[in-house]
Amino acid sequence: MNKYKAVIKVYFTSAIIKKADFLGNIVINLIQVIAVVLLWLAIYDPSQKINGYSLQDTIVYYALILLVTYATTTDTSDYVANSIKSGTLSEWLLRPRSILLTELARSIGAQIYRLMVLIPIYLVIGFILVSLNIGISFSFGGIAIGMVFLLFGFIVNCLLEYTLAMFAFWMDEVWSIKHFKQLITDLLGGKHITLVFFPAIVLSINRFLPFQFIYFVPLEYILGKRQLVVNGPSDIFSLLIWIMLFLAISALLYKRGIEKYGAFGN
Amino acid sequence: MEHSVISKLTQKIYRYVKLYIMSIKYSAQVDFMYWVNLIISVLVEILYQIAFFAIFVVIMTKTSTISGWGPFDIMILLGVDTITSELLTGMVIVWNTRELPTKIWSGELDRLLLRPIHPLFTLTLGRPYFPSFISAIVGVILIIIGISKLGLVVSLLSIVGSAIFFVLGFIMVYCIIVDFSLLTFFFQDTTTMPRIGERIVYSFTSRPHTIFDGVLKFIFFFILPVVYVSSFSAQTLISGINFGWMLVAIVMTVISVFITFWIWKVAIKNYSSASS
Repeated sequence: MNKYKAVIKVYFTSAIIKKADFLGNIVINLIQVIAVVLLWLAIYDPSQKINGYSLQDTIVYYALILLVTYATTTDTSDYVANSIKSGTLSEWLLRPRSILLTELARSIGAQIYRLMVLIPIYLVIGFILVSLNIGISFSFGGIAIGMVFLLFGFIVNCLLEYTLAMFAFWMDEVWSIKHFKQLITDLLGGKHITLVFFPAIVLSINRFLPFQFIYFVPLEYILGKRQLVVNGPSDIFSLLIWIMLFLAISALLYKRGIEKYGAFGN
Repeated sequence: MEHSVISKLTQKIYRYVKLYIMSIKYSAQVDFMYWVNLIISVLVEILYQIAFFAIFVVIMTKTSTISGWGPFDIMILLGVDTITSELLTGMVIVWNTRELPTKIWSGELDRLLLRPIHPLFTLTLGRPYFPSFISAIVGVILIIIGISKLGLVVSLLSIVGSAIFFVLGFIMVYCIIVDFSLLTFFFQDTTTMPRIGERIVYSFTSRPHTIFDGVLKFIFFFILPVVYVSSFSAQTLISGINFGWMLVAIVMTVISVFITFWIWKVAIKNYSSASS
């Protein structure tokens, strides 16, 4: 366990060094959030509720998207795929560590710094919003459960990316798959638009897919739109199924891929 | 005297257009050599546009209009915006502005400064990304469907007016992206400057200009002029030319170009080779 703690420490330090990039990324995501909020302000009648979401709920949802994005986003597919492509995977193979766990530790290290900066900012904004008494409220329980689901969302996203990275054993470039995955995740995960606005048929199919756990489900728990007693068991069951499925698929792909790997790159 | 200035300027523009066409040809040749990558890249770009369109379809199921724009007006707007974003991606972003931080740090810029071409051209338009040019066709299809669903008879004047707004607006958003990218010369410890400009343009050009009011209207019409390229072009196709706004667009384009060249001059003065 200590060796993974060391990896977390190294990448936490590395994330601190790249703080200018991190701040730049916050600006980029903030612009995106402002653009979406402006659009919804033009659409909503302030007294209207769309599928249980008022204008306030929608704005808070998009405001929180930034935090959720930083909590669950990882560059695992780029990192692992590049190491396969360039041949640096050989170094990993010589070390007495699991590649998957090392990758998880690396991502956690980078994530801790981001959350250390973002969470206090959000706590202040949340406190101000609640004090203004404009119909926005949070419960401590909802936030706590939401945080647990954020962790699950991060693990699912990491495993999905890791599974995609395994295709680098056979392909020259996995960026197109990664790009496509991001597109689907953002759309069906609820980053671009709250999932409750989707047609019923899309929602019923999406319930069985892993993408909603990356943005939508944690956010619904934070907003108090989802209850642990009602939705918790089925959500946890689905999450566990997906985690096991990704572990199995990535292990299978790794086993096949490593036989083909030539240590000089793909 | 005046005639000779215009003639020199025309010759210069002609030279750069010729150079740019050669770059596109070269980029296409390279991409067709790796045709599997080309197909995947085009497919991904098209899927991206479809996903973006799907978001608006979902939104339009919840409302009949967005600030006075009906579903098929929005379809035309998204069509124009697809062309805008794909052309920006292909001409300016992928191999050019996004690579600018690396070119500054690695000292590759030194080599580019020695070429007998304006370095700003080489840095921001020098290497096109061909798949985006193909994907722009999706935008044309959306415009045609939108126009036919609205039953519009678009006059030649509206088409010309729309094209003028598009070209002027495109120059303005190009300037925004380049201005932010050039800030890399001053903030050397980040690679995100080009992406900030990109994000502003990608996020707001697809919005109908009528949603902006008050301070936001001032910002997006005059400070970061993103509304002309897609929204005004689409509106001109739908309801004809507004000559007043076209005049504003011409003035804003001239100002944007001057600002970009000014930032370039200051930035290059600040540059001290690979150690910049």
